[in-house]
Amino acid sequence: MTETSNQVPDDKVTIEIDGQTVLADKGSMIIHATDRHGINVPRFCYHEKLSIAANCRMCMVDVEKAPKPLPACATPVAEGMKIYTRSKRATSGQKNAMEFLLINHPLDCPICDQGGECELQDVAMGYGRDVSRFVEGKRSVADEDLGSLVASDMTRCIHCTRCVRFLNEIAGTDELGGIGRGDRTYIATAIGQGLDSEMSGNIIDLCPVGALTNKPFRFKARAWELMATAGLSMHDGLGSNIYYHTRHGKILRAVPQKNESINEAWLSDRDRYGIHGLNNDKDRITQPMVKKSGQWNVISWDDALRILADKLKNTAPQEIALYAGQHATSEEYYLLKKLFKQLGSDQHEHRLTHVDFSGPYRAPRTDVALTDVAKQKNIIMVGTYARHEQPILNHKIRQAWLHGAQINAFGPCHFEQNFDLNLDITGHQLAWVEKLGSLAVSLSEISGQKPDGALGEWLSQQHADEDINSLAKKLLKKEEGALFVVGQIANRHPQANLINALVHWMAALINASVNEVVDGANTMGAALNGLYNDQDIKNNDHTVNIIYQAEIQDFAEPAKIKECLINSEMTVVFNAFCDDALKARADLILPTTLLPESSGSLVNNYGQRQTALVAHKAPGESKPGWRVLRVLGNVMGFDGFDYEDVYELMQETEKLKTLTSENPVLAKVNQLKVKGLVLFPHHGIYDGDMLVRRSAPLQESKLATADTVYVNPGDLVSIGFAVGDLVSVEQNGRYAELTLATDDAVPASSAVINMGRDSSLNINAGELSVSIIGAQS
Amino acid sequence: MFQIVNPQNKEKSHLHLLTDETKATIDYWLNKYPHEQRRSAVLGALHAVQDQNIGWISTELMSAVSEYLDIPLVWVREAAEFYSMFHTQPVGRHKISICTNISCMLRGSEKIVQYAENKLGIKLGETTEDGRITLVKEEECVAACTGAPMMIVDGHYHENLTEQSIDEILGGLD
Repeated sequence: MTETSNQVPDDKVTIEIDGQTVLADKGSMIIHATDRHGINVPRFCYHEKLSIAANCRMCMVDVEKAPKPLPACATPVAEGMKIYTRSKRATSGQKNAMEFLLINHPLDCPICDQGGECELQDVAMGYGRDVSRFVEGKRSVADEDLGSLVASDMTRCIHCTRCVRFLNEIAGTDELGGIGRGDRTYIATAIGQGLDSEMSGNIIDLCPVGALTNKPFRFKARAWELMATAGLSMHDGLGSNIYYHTRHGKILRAVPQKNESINEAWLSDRDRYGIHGLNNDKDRITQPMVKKSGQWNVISWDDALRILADKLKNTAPQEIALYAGQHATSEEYYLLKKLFKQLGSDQHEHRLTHVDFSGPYRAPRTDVALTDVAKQKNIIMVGTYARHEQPILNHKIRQAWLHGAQINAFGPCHFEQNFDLNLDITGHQLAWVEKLGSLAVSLSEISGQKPDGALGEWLSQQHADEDINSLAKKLLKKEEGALFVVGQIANRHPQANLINALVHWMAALINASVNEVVDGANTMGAALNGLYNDQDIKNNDHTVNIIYQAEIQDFAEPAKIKECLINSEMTVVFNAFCDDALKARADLILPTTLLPESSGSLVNNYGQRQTALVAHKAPGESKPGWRVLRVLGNVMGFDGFDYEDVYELMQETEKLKTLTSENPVLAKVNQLKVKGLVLFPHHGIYDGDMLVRRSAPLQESKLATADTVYVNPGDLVSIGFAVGDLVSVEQNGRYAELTLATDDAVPASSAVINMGRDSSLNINAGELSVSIIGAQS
Repeated sequence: MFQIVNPQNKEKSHLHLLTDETKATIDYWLNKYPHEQRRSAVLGALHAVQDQNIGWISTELMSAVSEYLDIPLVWVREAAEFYSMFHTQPVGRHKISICTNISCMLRGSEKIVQYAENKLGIKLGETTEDGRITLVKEEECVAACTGAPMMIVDGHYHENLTEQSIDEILGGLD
């Protein structure tokens, strides 16, 4: 032993656990060493991702020469330390802690939702007494309503404070706290306001007892009745890893699957509760349907595909257009591309959320891996509300901020962040882009470098700004590096190309990185398969329009696409849902399955390819999209559609080349003139796709949006209506009926409309002039 | 700040509830700590708002303190509910805390409590109907064991209590 201990690295110490000699990091705790070496020490309050509280006292271990048992989670290792986790002193310490914890914990396991998957229950089996020595009455605690996502039974709480620490350290919302003291402590919100973190569901997983449980899942099933299927989230561009818990082929809940490179141990509420949209029968399509003289008739798959094939055969190739949603699998995109290639049409587009098609197609740029976002020193958020776009990305930005990074933001609104912003530069949709221009002006003036062409010309009309100038100076000191995060607000901007050109020019000048946030779960997969067009295909006339896994609400320009669909001869919908707005314009509906109902691969924002398995049984005659496309290809008589199963297809999609992002080409700046108010088309966190829009728990939660138009309070007088009035918002002769509201966070002359809702189907994100006029009667 | 939600969920500011004097006191405490540890000023701030509001701290005042210190509201509530010298319910003009910790208990504090309760017709934690006296529910040891049993009346210590001395002390209150 003496020889080896001489070679111990400087940052390690040698310790002995239960007679086994191991190396441990200097300054780490005993529990880190026992966990690493698979030695079980019971615990409730300790969690590897949270700070150490040491308040449950369950992890008592026996340390040689220590006068009493010590908590393993809060005792740092020391050279030569001898630790016994199973000695009499250790186990009696653990048993005593257990007895204390059970004094007030109710014995209601049979009616507790956590029963069967409860850490307290498990540990009590090992360390608890068979019969309690306590005859006194147990304490009870009043419950409070935490909202539609998390159910609470606070009488069961053992005050481990994992939920408090999670909301403080990870979510950054500080909603729960330990109120009162001593044996009367209870966990509660400050004033019973509920939870509004976008990550609140994680406290369910963290809670070691049945105090915090999954509200929609409540009393639905026991843990031992459930099967776990590995899946991927389809609600943002990260593909968070999920275990779907199913019974009889039906998903009952989603829990996180650990993946350090993506979602760590967390899941955003959208990923956790989005699946409840699947069980919403409204608008669900279960059989192929065709519209004949205004009436919907159920038909067989054979007939449906024959009708479609006949129409495709008899239509000029360029008259056929495809709009593909951004959360289908790569295999479906692969077959769609193959189909369109053989049809001879290039009229296909997946960027339904874009409005600026002025430059040639370019793939999204992602220089920095998701995990490395947390290591950045300077982050400039450009047109992004990362918290709602990719909650886990926002978590990484917050981690960077906690480690001292400076965060700056440019955007159309003061968004509520869970970190401090150095600069939060806002203005209406055109103004904030000019402010971004001011940053480029400052960088250009200090460095003496100028962009060429249209960008240089545009920049020469912009002005420097004092605050922004100081940011420019900091960024030009290149040693710290910087990351531009360009988000979905920028993607949906009518000057998206200008924004991207600006960011790319600045990034090249200061040697910074750029991460562009994509809009969908498999935007990258659609891009890899080439499902795009350099022009806006909505501007071309088409006889046949195919809508693949999308709804009108998914388009940034719903009014424009409605127009396209009306003017065509045939609209074909491949989707799981079809609401009235789309049904009114469709002619043929083919029920295909959504991601948890089919298997396939997705490529996330950061280029990681992941596969998902079938977790949910699709209703009726729904079929996976790849299967339908395979048959369609064969009915059309095309080559290369003979796949036995999805795995054969996945072998081909795996070989797709990775994308290289080109610099934006800015031939000319979209000069926009605005009359009236300037529209900011806001996308609420729970309005982004067909599942979250139908998920009742999410729509009842605090972050759900309303049919509202927000303006700056200062504009109220000139608008001439009062807060709460039902008003008509006019955009180029189309109207949306919305309730007027004000918010200081909205810049002057701006009108914020929640997109992706039925109330905003007449609003195009790309047309910035809107005015508020009297309510339509 | 903006997190576009239903307008009725948005909370209103309570900052206007703080008087200038209270703000000055909070500033005095804020100056004692570095900015990132401004949470430490919460006790000074809570004393200030309690003094301003005839002896108790309402939820609205907690919100005002949280806004003024720029710390989460739940941190303010945690502190206000933890310490026995803060009151989160309305109190009487005089606050009486009878020590029931070990030394006082051994010297008969239970009888003292009972006598005071009977005399005033209220239980610990309650306020007399005329709003004159509140019997504070629980007081930790205040380091006056040599004079046990003892009680604190409006911040003043009264030691070696007997039934007679309680009569005198309570009789002397307006």
